[in-house]
Amino acid sequence: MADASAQITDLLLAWNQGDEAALQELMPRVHDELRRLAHRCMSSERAGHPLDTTALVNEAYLRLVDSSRVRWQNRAHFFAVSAQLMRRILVDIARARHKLKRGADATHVSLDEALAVSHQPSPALIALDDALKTLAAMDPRKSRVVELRFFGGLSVEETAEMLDVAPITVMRDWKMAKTWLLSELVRER
Amino acid sequence: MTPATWSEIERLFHEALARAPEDRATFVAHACRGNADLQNAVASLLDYEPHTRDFIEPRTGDLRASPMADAVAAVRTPITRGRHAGSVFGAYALESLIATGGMGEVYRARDTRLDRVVAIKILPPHFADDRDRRDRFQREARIVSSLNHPHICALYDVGLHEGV
Repeated sequence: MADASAQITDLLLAWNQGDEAALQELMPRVHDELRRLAHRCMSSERAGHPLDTTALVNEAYLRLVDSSRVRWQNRAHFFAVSAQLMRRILVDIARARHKLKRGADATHVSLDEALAVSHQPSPALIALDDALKTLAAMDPRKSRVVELRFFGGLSVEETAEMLDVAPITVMRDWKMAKTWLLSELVRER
Repeated sequence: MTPATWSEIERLFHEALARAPEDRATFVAHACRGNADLQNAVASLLDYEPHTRDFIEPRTGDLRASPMADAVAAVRTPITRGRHAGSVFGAYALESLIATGGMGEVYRARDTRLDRVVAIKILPPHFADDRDRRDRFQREARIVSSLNHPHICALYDVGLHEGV
């Protein structure tokens, strides 16, 4: 385990130095760990336990990376990659569980269901994923802000660093994106 | 929706939010100059906005008693361990760090008024800065202080000292 952690830490550092091949090697390992943690978190025994994506990604980070060797920028990069993977994994689990095909019936939930996305994740997660795709088509940066913050647990400052914008811009994007997403999730039941 | 419309909606949304709630409708109606679609879009967002406080916020999980949350707090709080040792908080002189966890640090301290040894728990900075968390901490303190049991520690005091 210690060896694996050292290897993954090396890959993360190499990628942050500009080695794109390191990212290709890093992604599947992070993916496997996130998937394992996500399945455990969303398994039926833990029904009613809140889904905390931030905690999931953090746990993966703690298990995979030797934090004493990385700077916070490296950490933020890890979380940015994880955010994308986490979104795909959680939405796949949610879709498989509910066996919902994308469509008008599946994409909208009640206000209560939407607000409960972290407590009864599945239907709201699917709706959120669909709405994020619509948002990405209009305003890619806002969609990325949501992915980094909600699925990756990045702070406003870390998100700003990843997207190379000012924190105030992230805060405005976040506010607008959140409000629009909520309105989209509950629209036209 | 055209990109121009989208950015116009966003601009008016933020400008309306900067105004007092009772002034927003008038402001939006005036700013949209008869463009009913634009006005409806902005008004709809303003209706939803009050509900978004907890919606998809990171760290939404219940932070009590979760080993993952401890890990989160440990990563999120790059505090110098034991940095309060030697500090004086009101009547309490903090002596040494006893333990750390997801909910903060516990110090051995001396109550200088009553000259007795006490334990002081200090919340991590990101908790102390968050009013909800502080309120919850105060509530827990009230509950604990109302309990009297040999296996539950007696609570003497709770407070805020220069942001800590």
